[in-house]
Amino acid sequence: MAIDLKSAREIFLAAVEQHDSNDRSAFLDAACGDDQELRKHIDVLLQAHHQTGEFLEIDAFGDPKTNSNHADVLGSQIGPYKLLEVIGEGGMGTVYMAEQTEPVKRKVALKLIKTGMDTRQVIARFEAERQALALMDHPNIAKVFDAGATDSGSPYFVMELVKGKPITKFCDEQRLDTESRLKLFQQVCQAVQHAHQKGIIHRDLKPSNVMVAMYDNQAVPKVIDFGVAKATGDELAEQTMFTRFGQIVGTLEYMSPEQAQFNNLDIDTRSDIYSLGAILYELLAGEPPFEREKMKSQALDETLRMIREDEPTKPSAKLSSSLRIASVASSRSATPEKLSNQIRGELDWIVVKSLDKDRTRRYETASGLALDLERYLIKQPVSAMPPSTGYRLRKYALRNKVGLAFCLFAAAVLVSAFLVLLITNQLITKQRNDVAIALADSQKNLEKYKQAKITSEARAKQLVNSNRLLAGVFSDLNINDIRESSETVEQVLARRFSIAADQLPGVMHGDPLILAELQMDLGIALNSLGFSKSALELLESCRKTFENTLGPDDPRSLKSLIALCEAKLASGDISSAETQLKAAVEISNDRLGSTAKDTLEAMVMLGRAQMDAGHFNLSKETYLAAFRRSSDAYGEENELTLKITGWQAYLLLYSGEYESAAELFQQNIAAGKEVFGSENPYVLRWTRGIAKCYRKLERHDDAFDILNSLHQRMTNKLGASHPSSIMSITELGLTHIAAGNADKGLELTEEGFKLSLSRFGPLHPQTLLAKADFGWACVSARNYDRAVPILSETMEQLTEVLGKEHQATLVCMNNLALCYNSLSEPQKAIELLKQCLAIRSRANPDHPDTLKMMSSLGSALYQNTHVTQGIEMLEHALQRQQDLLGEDHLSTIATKANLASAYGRKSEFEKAIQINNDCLKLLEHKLPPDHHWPLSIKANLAVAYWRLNQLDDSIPLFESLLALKTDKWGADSLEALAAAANLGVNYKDDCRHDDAIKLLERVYRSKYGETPMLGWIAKPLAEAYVTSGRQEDAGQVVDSYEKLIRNKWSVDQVGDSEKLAADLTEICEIYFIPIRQYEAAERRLREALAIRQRIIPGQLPVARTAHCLGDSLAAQKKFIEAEKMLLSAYEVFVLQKTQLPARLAGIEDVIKSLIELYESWDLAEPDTGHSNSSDEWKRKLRNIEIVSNSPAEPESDKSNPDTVAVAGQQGEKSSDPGSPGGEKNGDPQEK
Amino acid sequence: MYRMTDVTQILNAIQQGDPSASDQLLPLVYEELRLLARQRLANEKPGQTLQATALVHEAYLRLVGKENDASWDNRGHFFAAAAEAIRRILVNNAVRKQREKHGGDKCRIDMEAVEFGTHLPPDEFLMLNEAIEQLAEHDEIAANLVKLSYFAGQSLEDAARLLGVPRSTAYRHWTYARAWLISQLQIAN
Repeated sequence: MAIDLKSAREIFLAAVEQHDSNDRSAFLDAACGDDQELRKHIDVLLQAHHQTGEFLEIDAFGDPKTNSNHADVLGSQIGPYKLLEVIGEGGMGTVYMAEQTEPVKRKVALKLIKTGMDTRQVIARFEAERQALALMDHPNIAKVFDAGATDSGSPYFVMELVKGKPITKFCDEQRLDTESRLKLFQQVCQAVQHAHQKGIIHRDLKPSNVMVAMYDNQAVPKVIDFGVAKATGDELAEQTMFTRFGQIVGTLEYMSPEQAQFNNLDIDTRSDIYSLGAILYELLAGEPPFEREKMKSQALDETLRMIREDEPTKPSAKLSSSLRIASVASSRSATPEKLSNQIRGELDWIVVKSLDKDRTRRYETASGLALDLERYLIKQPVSAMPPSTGYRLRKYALRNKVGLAFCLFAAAVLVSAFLVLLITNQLITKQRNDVAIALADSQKNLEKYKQAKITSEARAKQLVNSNRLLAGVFSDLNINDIRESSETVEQVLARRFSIAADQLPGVMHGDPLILAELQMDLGIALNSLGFSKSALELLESCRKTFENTLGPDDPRSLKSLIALCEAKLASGDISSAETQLKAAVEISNDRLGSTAKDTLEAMVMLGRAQMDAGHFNLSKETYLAAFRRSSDAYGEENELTLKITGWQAYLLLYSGEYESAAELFQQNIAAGKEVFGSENPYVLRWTRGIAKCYRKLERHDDAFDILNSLHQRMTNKLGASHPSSIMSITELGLTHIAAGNADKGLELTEEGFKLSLSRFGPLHPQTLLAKADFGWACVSARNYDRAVPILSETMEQLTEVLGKEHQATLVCMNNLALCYNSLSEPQKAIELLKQCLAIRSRANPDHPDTLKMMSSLGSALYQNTHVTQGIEMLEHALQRQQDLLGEDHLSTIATKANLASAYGRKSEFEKAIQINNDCLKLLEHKLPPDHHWPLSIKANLAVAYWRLNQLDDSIPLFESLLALKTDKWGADSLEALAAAANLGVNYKDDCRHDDAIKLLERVYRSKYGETPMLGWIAKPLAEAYVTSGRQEDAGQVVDSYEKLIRNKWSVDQVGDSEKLAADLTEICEIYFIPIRQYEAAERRLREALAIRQRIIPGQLPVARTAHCLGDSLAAQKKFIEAEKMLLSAYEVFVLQKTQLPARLAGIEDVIKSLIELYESWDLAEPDTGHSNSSDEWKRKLRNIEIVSNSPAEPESDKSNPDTVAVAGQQGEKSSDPGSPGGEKNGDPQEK
Repeated sequence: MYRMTDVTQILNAIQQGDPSASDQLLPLVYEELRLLARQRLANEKPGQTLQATALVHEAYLRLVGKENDASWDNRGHFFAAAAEAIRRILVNNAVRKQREKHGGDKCRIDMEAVEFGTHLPPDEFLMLNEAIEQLAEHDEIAANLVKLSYFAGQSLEDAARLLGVPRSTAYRHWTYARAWLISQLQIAN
């Protein structure tokens, strides 16, 4: 003990005063000097000081100390608050009633936090929440008004003065019965919910923080102390192990397990839910889940462990075993038995759910808890579930249902020959076969049970009753009558099933396994009829039963799991299906063997799930593995093996590998015909699949061949409204549209939709998908006006029926966005796509469809002036696609192509060129060279070269384009003529005027020569004529063109006026000025300038027109005006600070014009300083030349937006392959 | 049935400097406290706490009475005695429990042991007690503050007044006391 503790103490206290750590170290250095031991001692003390927390804030019995002499405090003033009387003592401090004098006079509650806390910290933490607290405005939440510190440094909070008693006490005193207590409690839940929505967690909910008082004969609860717990750091996390010596025990009874952990900073709203549960517990059973006594008598560690790990007894159990049951019951105005009965069961579960140690299993929200209580009160089944499954059905049996709308909660159905007959008459597709098989299976089961010699009367009775019920379903069921009514067969069956279901639970009360079997069968049937959402509940329920009773690796459990996953896939719940299937496959593997049929079926399902989730590589592997096993064990011509290869083909189709997919389909069809027969549903599906491949490859004729014959056969054999027939019609329609027969295509797809409508009803998923396909057809046919209402309606309906996150819904939204974009409502498109993307990014950020959507959005953005944003988005999508799908994937390439166009829009042509070249290379082996994709990309590439004046590169491309398009569409088609037009312009620029004129004339004289699409051809033609000396011809062309632009094409809208101005400028540039008709030029240019200055003042086009005008004025020797014009043109260039090289931007030309001007001026009026000016400008020109480092071109300005836009538009508009996700609509049906 | 005048007399005697007087005070206070505590526990409704402050306060009322409201000085002596009394009870209690744990006679359940449970397990309580003793050796005021606070449930302000120490001084001692005790406990662990 070499240290003098007393002086050490002094040093310590002085050090504590130093708030700045640097100052403190300095001080300690000085004070301790060389004495290491002393320094160490002080450091230890300082560290301990920081860990003080609540140490010794309680007395030896664990109770808070009290300020026995309140008299001193009362009447004193703290800020604007005068303390009037003591309301209560809490663990944290005393609560006073105070009178506020400013700014408003009212009575408030002031909570004075006891000394020993770090006031600054407390206030700081409170401030952090103050904003959010201020936003809380709920009748059941006490407002927190203010916080501050007294002169002596104690923090205080000022709150709304709340009269009343703690809720538990209130209820006891008023002898409220259980129901009233629940209603009161619900209000508390709503209050907490309100706070949670504002981001405030209470952290210290307990009865004393929920005060109830009577207002106007109504019991009104108010939750107090929001925000205080956090501010005062009343969390264990902030205290170290050793402050347990001073720990306040009081709050622990309601503390959540996660709060009972040291260093847990991750407290969220669910902590409050736990506390609410504990309060509810006490309201029901009279005591909190963990007894106070127990908690106080043991060490803190033990208490916390208990909270974290021990399961509390159920409220009903606690009550029954309580010594005080009589008094508890009487304060609930009930007898002990009655109370026990009330609480036992659902209320137990609700409480237990709220108190779950695993917070993910509690109620998500306080209102969720309130809602479940509501359900209890109105006698609906609660969501908190006990282990047994018969419950829900029983509950349904208790209520009188008035129709179930979409929730077809049928319990069971038994097979009879009747039903089987019914099925074979009506439903032939594979899906329907499933039903037959499933139901036949259950018949087998039934037989099994019968044969097992069921002796118990109950069982026998069950069967008799079920049969009777079944007979009821099918009696008087005349299919033809139904056909003539407005309902579909499905709807009728569904209704009757539900009636049977109502009665069945009473019958099936005995054996959960039988029930489960039947649930499974029915679930499978419902799914195949298209009611996947309803099937989900059933299948989930039977799966649980199987798993719990037989174990997860029993074949029946697996079967139900697979059926469940199939329903999940159909209703869009893909990721959970994927996970579950993975597990199922493993189990099946172990249990049944790697080549068992069930294992392989499970693998197929897994492959499908992975495919739907966009995990193409995984899917590929799964299928491959399955294929290998199947072909090894059963041979290649086996049914199962073929099914697997069929799915492999689909995978290829979705991956964009159309050629390989077609091949594989072909193989399968051939083999399938042998093994199954040509009318087999699988074979039919694959046939449709191959047709789709052909459509994608633009082998339209091949597609037609197949589809026409297919459609014939189906209509004859199965009837037009058979689902297979419907699907083939739709596919046929889409093919027609792709081939260019828009009308026929629309007719057919519309028919498909109408057939679906009559077959399935307006809200059946099948109908909605067919509708979406129809909408997509309209889009493909560019019939946007028609498409929009259809797609909007479908989108809403899909959202309702399948959910906002279902792929079909989002694809529909995507297509709708495409419509808006094409209808020049880009903002709507962008908005919609953003929404889509937000939803998908949340759920499925790496799905190929999400990335496609990102790409679409990027395209929409760059096409509508948000070029930089669009590029960013596209780059990002591209990156992800490259990572996830590979460079080779069609989607990746599509994004690339769009990105190139975006750069083109920004005039970054080098980049565009590079990317386009990449794309072409990648597409070489994937698509035929005359497929519209490579064509558009080529066109864009060529345009980019042209913009950079690299004619040696652009011309060969345009030549190739012309050849390809002529072959594809014919020499007189719009496409071919457009190609010719572009090539002609290139020839002209290359000075090959004869070739140019030949082509340009051809276009000019074609039927498109005077249409807006190609009418601009007059300009380059005139230019070519002028350069070739054929001025008369040029004059004629210009003349008729001018007439066109002034009269035929409307000039009302702003854009068109600008077009007029542009055209006028151009024709002056190419005609009037070169042939020296300067007055004519001047007139027109003045007109153009006026328009441009009005519409787009200060923009580059103004400069161009001004430049031209200046030239014509100079030529007429109107020097002063000319100078003015040219200088103003120059200024615009300077102000614009264009990023283009000077040459392209035209600055050089303006300067040259200025030089010329001054030189001729100098000639006309020598010695007036003009030669100086011309020298000056020459210098300027040289400077620019040095910078841009390329020879000056005397040619006319190439940055004519019109020419480029039109020529490029052909390419750009059609290179949106990122958008046609709509076609995927056909797929869910096809599966 | 101690007559109130007895205690008051003793207090006066203490005030006048009679050294033997304090020794007489303690047993009286001790008995009174035990009685009170037992009464409380007997009437206990679930959740009833055995607050030291209230306990001591009541003992004071009983023994000294309101009319004879002694000076702060006297009160100081009384409360100090009360704190000491409670401390002794608790220490005895803890020692006993410890002995039981280590193989003592489990059958004999002393009424006291049951009645006066601290919220700490006996080992820890004894460690704390030890630390307080050590604190007393070099900072008596601090130790007294701790005792009044912890065993008699007095707030810091009240304890300061009872000891006749200005608030700011008390606060410094208090700060030191807590830091010191914690550091000692950390070392002990």
